[in-house]
Amino acid sequence: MADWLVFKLAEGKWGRGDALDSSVVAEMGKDRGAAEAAAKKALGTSKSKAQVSSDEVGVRVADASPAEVVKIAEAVEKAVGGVGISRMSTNEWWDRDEFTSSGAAEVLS
Amino acid sequence: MRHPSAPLVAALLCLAVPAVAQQTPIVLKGTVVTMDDAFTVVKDGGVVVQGGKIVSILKAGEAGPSGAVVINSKGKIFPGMINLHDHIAYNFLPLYPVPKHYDNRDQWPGGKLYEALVNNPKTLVTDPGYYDKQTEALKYAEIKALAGGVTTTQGSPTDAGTSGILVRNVELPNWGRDKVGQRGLPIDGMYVKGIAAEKASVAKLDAWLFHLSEGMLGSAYSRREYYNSAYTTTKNPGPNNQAGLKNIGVVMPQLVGIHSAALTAADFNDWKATAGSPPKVVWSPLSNFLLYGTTTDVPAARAAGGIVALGTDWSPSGSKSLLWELKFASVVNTQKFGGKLTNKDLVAMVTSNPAKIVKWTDKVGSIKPGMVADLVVIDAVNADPYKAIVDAKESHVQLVLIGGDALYGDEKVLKSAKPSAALEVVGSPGGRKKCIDLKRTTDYYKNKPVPKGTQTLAEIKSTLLDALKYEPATLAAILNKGRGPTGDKKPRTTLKAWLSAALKKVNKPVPADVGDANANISAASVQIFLDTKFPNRKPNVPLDPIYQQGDTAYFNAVKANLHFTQGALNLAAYLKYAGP
Repeated sequence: MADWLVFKLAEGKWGRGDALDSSVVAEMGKDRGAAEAAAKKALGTSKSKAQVSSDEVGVRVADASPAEVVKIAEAVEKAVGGVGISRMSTNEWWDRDEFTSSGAAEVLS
Repeated sequence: MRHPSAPLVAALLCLAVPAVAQQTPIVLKGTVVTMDDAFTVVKDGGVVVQGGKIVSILKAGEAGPSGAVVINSKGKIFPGMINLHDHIAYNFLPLYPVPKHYDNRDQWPGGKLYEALVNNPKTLVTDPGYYDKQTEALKYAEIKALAGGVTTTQGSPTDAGTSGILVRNVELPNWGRDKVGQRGLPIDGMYVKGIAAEKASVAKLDAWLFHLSEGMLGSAYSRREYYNSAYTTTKNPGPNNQAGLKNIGVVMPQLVGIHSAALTAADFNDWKATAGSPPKVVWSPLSNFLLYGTTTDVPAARAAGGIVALGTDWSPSGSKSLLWELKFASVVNTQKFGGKLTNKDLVAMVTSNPAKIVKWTDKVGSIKPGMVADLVVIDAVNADPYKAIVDAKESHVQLVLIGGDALYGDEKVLKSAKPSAALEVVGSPGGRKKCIDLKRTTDYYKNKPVPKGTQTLAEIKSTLLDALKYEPATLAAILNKGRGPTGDKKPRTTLKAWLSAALKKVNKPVPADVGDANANISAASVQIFLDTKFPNRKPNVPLDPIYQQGDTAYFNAVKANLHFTQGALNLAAYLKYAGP
């Protein structure tokens, strides 16, 4: 289980990176409420220990598996557009597709 | 550098004899330098390895289990070395000639030389938008680490092709744990905006490695990263209003200060008082000296009760492995620290201390029954076991095991430990042929397939060298094919968008293939892109040789560094190791 940030990708950003910085992130702004609601709905009432909150930077997903954060990221993406996933402990980031297709989600599970 | 042809590759493979069962115990005979809390050394003893773990330690004359593979090393057996600071995605690149003195880490990234020899090759070779060879770059770097007896490293991006094989990566999940984090970026506005969540996340970790105060000893600019008395919450944090860790409340017990090179004795004492626990520091003396002409005040950190580990930093300004960082640290100790560190202290900095820092003491960093068998066997180049590893060069590394898996070593020794493996020759430092069991079709942890797991070292080298040519036609083909099984064209779209904007900005015509989102991009247009975005690139930057031993260009670059030519250190005691 790890902590994650699901964030809106800045325009034209995709792929992956070693260090998340402000050039990759479009802050949530007025989408914050919708993003957090979508994330919480995706988490649903499962027995997961994951916890969802949000701040100006994005949706924080605590104590979640990669599979859980992917599910949440898919929901947030439907609500607010293209999103990325960052592993908070290391600042690495991926766009949602890259996180799974590159095998990173599997490595980190 | 020539690329080995297929017949040559075949000839380089060390032919192996039939397999033994994986569960067959291995007995490593030699002097066991346990690095346990009592610093027990068992002269002429042995270590029994089975099922990936250390089963027992044998006393002198004691026999191991029957049926075991016995390796009489006549050398010294150490815990595998743990490198707590590296940026391994850069480690295919050679040492670059640091052009001048710097005060802090924000000064040297940039400039034509840095771009040509460090930033551009790393970006172009490894980035998914360009030649996309991260797996090969990481694998090559991990082979270099193994050659220097390193079994765990730090600063590795998650990569399905390398993360579960070869060297352990400290921030990745290991043994079901995922409790080590890192941050390489300074504290910025975005971090501070999310500080509540960030602090909560750090609090769950066992260790949080932060690039702290990297700069010249006492640099006021760099010390601000620890605490900035001028920081104000009324302005956005950033370079002109740097939030120090103490300013935002993250001088926590989990903090590990990578470098901490500018900090003073007062800072280390303050750190201890603020965190409620002694400082934890990763020391990279060679990189510090090459860039800043000084290094971390290790005695001051230790006087504050601190625990210190060694790290190599990266190949563009550091040692190729801990085996060599130990030598440089020893020289610094003699000339700058008044010899306060013993050889035992130095060896602890690459074994037990890093394990303590990341709370892995129940797994690695010392040799005890039940521990994971990450081990390195070194020739007895000195009767003093600690001096032996400080003095050893790559030729003296007999064997490296990770999780009991014999991965690298002398051809004869590796064949004894692992008769069934198809070993590949890595090189012959000091005239001793070293092999590696490189191919991995499944990873250590999940037994899942590993992408590119069957690559040979020759293939890895040739792939990297091809990428380093920066051939426009090669990149055009990669972009036009797209990424992954779906042929995702985002890389091409992004590149076209960037180039269109750049050309329009200077009133140059946009080629038709660049203007058409769906068209294949031509090599000619990629050439324009490369010339525009990477004007300082220098094709055919050489691969960093795997061995530091005998790497004349490496040692010449160290000697030529202005800090040393101006007398920052007398390098004679270091350069005595420079020969083949």
